[in-house]
Amino acid sequence: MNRKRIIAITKKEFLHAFRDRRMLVIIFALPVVMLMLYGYALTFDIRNIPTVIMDRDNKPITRDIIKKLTGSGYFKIVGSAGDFKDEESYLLSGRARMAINFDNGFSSKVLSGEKAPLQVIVDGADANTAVVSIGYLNSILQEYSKKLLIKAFASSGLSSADDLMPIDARPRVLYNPELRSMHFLIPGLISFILMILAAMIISLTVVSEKTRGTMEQLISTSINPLELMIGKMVPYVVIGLGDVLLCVIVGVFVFGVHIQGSLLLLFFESLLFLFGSMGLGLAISTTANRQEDALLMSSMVTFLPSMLLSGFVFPINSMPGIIQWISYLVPARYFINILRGIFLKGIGLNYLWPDTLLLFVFAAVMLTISAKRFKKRLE
Amino acid sequence: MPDSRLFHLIKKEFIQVLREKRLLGIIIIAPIIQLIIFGYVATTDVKNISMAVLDQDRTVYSRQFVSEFGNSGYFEIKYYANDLKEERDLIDSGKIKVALNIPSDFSEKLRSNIKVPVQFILDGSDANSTSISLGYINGIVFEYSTKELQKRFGNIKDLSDKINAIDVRTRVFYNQSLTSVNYMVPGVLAILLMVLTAVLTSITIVKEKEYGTLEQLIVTPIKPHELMIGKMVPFIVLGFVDVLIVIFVANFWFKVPLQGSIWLLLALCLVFLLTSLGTGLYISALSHTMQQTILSVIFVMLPSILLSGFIFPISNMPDVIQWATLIIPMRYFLTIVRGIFLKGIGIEYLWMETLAMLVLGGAIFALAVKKFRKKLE
Repeated sequence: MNRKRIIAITKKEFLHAFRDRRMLVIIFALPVVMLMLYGYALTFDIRNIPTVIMDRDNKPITRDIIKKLTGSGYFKIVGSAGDFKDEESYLLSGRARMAINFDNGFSSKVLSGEKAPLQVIVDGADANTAVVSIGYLNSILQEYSKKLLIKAFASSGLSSADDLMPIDARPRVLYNPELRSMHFLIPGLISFILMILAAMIISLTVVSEKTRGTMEQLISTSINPLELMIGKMVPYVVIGLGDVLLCVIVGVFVFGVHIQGSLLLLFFESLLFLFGSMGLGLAISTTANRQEDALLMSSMVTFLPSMLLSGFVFPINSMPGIIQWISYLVPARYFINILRGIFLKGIGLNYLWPDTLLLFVFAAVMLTISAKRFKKRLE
Repeated sequence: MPDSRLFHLIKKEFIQVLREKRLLGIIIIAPIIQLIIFGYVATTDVKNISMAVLDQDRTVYSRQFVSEFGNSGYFEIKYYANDLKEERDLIDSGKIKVALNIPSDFSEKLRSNIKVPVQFILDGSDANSTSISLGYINGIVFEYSTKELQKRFGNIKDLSDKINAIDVRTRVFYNQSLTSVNYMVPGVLAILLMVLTAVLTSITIVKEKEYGTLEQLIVTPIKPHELMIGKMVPFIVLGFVDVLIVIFVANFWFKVPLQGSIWLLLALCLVFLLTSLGTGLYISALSHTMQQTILSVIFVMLPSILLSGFIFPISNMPDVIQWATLIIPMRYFLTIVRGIFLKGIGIEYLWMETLAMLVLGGAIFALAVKKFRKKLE
């Protein structure tokens, strides 16, 4: 091991990375763009559900209910339909996602204490949005029913009308009381960006040296494989940690995310994860001989799993059993778990040691494999 | 025609594509893997929410209340905690998402008609899942409460009827079971078509550039437009093969049948190809190396996946970004594919999206052809 040779390779890699403008954009603009996108645009928080109303009753009660719906902010009335055909065309064309039909005599039934049926039609194509909108509608109507009930009880002389509901559910939300998706997504984004950066870009640069023939030139110098490997890795460690810092700064100052736990632990875990992903990237570069193969393999083993199987966007608990098992093989899963723990819960190694241990194993295994293969390739 | 240059060029491209086993593997296996991944993984359905119960009452009443949660299908009661500290520990370590605390006077108060406060503690890290769980909790508690009320006032007919004054009868159209698979699978078709055509065309063209064989082709009498058509035809054909594979797997494996006309779907796929092939061609005209191509492809693919409504609904986005999505062809294509697949609607509802794709596709295609020609001549 010769420090001077490693430094030379590191310098060369830095030059390579910073010379290519598109690469620079990927390294620094991608994290910011992704954060902004996920922070502002990409959310499952549902509001303004386009709703069409067919009000055949048109009495104070129905108007009152409609007002409650729009006032909640969850529903937006996009039109009123005259008949079912009209209503269906709203749903088919996608102009409305929900249709509410008040039948003739709805309010008189409500007032006389009969059960008043209310027909609601939901466009279920987007299941998540549909489930959430049904939930909103039910809770608004339940609230309304409760008010009517309390009024009726009060008029029948029962005084404790307010204490009517036997059970009073008092939910308390921990870690993220305002329920903002941003707090959940930033840790996922950090791991996603590190995975792309470390595994994808490093494998592409190594393979590009192969296709251009400059790898042969490097081999014919006095550098040994391990030095070459370290030299290749150092710039991306620096850039990767820079990206973590960038994400943290944007998260804290732009989106108001609070980091509950230790920043030092955050960087330590990021480093561990970076080493593992770089090892993976290098291992890929030893098997792939062309850049498109490297891209394909790295997207198969890094991009897709760390996006889909890590719990970044989709909850792992809801996946089928086999896929949940597979997700244990995805290191990003542990990393995201750790990051969320540090960011949101403020917990330390006393809770996070199993995940940390697994990340350590991942890094050790990947670096050993890639070092071995790298050596064999070059010698 | 069989002797024309174009025919031979197309034949060459086909041979080149089919010779590569790996590429062939991608074309046939990729759609199936993608379908399985997106069909099973990309689900925003919230179920099996892990729950711990701290039951300080331990009576028939409290057990019955707890079992309402277990039986709902949304919650999975994994632990019974002995004290608050243990419960907090379970939440902190991420073993449970919801904790339910039943006070020791639960049954006593319930029997003597006094309001009982029941505490729920939720891990709010995942905002979306948490708000859905909150909805489930409120629903279950409300149901239980009304049942209790009805028991209590059962003898007063007038009152027990009023307990549920409004009887909401919800009907779900287009996706009765409300599972995400039905929504994701048609989306995969659109994404796949884009990946195949835009990514693979640009990669094969740039590869010829890198190997220098493009130069060789240019010096032959082949005209630029023949070269372009020759490059595109194999991927168009393979793209349609993939569309058919997706329709087949969707129907027989995922039980998501195609409700609308298959001919309309194929015709509109062709319109979409205008935009994605145009994009691929444009990228290849701009890039000199494979690395540049790959980075450009990532730049194009990310907004097409993230801002098109494939996963995140466009209607949730802020207005500025909603306007920006108007120039993403994938947005219109997804509406079309989902409309034909799930709603079975025809062109009378989809002409606006089709028109938008034609305009955008025509523009990018013309631009790409111009750029490409300039490079070649």
